[in-house]
Amino acid sequence: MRRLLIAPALLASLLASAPPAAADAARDAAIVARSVDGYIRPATARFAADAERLQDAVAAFCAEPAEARRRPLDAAFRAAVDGWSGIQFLRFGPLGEAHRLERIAYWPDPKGIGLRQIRGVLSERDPSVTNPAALAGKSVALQGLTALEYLLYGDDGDAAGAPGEAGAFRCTYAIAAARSLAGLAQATAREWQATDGFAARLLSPRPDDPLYRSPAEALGELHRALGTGLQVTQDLKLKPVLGDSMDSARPFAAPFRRSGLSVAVLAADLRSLAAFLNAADFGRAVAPKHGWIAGSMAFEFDNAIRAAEAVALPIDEAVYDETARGRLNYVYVVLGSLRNLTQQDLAAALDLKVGFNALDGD
Amino acid sequence: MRSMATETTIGRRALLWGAAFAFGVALCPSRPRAETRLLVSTARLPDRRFGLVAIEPDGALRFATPLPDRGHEPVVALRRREVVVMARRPGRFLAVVDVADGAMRRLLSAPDGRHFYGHAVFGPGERLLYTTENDYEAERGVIGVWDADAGYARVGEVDAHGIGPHDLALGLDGRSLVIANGGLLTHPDSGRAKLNLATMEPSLAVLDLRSGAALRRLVLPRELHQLSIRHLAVTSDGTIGFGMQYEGPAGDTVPLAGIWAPDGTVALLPQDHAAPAETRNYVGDLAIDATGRYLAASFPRGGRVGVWDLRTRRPLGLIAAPDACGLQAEAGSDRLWISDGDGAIGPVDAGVALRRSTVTPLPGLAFDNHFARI
Repeated sequence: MRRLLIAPALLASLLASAPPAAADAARDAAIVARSVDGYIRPATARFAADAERLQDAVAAFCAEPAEARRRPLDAAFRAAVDGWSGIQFLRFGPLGEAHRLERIAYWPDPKGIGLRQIRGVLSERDPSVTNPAALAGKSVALQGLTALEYLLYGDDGDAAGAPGEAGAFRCTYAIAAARSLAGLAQATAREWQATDGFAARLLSPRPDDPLYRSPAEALGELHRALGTGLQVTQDLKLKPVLGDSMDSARPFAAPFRRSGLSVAVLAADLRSLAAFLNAADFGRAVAPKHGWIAGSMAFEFDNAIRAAEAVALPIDEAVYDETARGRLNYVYVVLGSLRNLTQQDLAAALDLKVGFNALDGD
Repeated sequence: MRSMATETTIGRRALLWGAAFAFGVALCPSRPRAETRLLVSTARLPDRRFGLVAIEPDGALRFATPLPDRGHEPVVALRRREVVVMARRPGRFLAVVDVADGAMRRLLSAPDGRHFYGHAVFGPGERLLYTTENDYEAERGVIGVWDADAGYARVGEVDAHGIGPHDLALGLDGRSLVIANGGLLTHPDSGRAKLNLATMEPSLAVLDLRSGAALRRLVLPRELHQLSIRHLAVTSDGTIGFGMQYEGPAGDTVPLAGIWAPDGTVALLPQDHAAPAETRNYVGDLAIDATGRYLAASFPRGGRVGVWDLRTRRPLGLIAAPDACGLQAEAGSDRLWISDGDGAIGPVDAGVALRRSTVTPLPGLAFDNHFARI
């Protein structure tokens, strides 16, 4: 099959070769190692710690639902959402296993399926959600940060911790959801820390490993993750929220709107992707003619982060405010530019051949 | 385009002599050489615009017609002397191009609240055109019906009996439609993002053309529910071959192609000739040769095309084909044609050897996902 054979009457070029060898396997492996050790492992460990603290904060608040305990709970929730921004773009390996991604945050949910399910559980006081082990086997929408957000910030009925049975049930469910979240975050971090298993396969690809046969393929995975992260933030977290105009804006489509963190999520996503890029230090390894790319991307990221951080209004007001909307539109444009830089320039600099059909097929 | 074609004439003619030969062999000895023998493909043109290209038997570019945006599948209506080009999802245009000169005869748009998924098929007699569409507010797949004789008037739509209908084909009886329902929920506001990975339920549905009723439906076992069924081909004995894209963990080894026999039995074809890294668990197009013996599935992300022998239902092997996606069977032979993003196109003679011969008609041209042979 791989022989090169020229049929006498056929002048057409005969394609019969293996894919081109990686330009520089050692360079690719070094970038992967920097990304894993310098970013992915610390970020997943941080999220596991955030989730653990959130679990403690929920338990402490529910044990004594006083206003004084509410502030640490809000801070812990905010930190966990921030930590989630740090790893949600790593949608391969540990987060791709066992629906962890959807179980940690069931979003987007355009039809409000998750909401319906949670409301159903609350109105029936379904006791099975109060057991973390049983909860893990239930709908992904009933678990994790998005469920927890509704339990803590949903403005219907009795708040968690309110006097009475409804408030108590909400708290018991929230404790179970927080424990389930902490378990998922820990499992994700553990798999990334382990010196065998997925991280090892990414760090030390082998020709006989079906997952990654070469450092170039492992590098390709990380490059794709960067592209996916930019896409998710631009296409899912920003585009439908902004709409084409104020008239078509849909702030309800924003993630973590109930807790007022939608704008913070945008900034956190951007900071995380910038930090990931920085840890990988692509610029150090590429040919001099590509040297501008890393700097240019860092510059674009800085601009977008500043613009997002300058939005002080919550998302439901920001999309209708000229200044805030302008800043969010600017973030949207910069994200598009960063996607182009990633897909075209960075891919070329890393000798990642991103094909026309392979890039975004159908 | 004209100036570009002129500039490259010499190099291209030399290459294309080979193409003429390949095309000549492609003809059945008993059949007169058809004037219209042509390859039509969606493409990215050398000037980076998206378009439809037609390549003549001698390899010359017959036309390159720019499209409003990226196209997906070209559908040939020979009696009408037209090619219908569907917008790539979530696009909304439907272009009708003259097969003789590439003139844009009509440029239509999906109805309000619908976008196209990129595939279409003509019913018997080439009068009615069926298009896969997303009714995105209701989150359901539909099949749009257009009357080509009435200037492609929209005359109706039926339920696709699944979310995310993609490729479709006319049933062997001419009275049914076979639809690959990928199962993935998307909304144009969210670009191409998939909104229901945890709950997706892909299916193959066979519909009655007149009533729209579901005659048969194939749903994969629950543990395979993340295999999005996207492309299909119907053989002359009514076997339906289908190709899939896996939305689960990248390292999983899962079947990517299958056949649904006329007797209702289903076989998922073994994948032991290809590692996940070679397939990326992603089939871009699928074809079964005219003899019904060889099934090919392209893996554009892995840069390979896999071929199976349907008689033994065993894999024959892989063809190295970087960025290749489009696949087509040649009439009256066991040849399968492959197109790629580097602008190369050509046949594989599966019964002889898994070796691909190619021509590159125009420098800078990238063939898009699908093409058609006339």
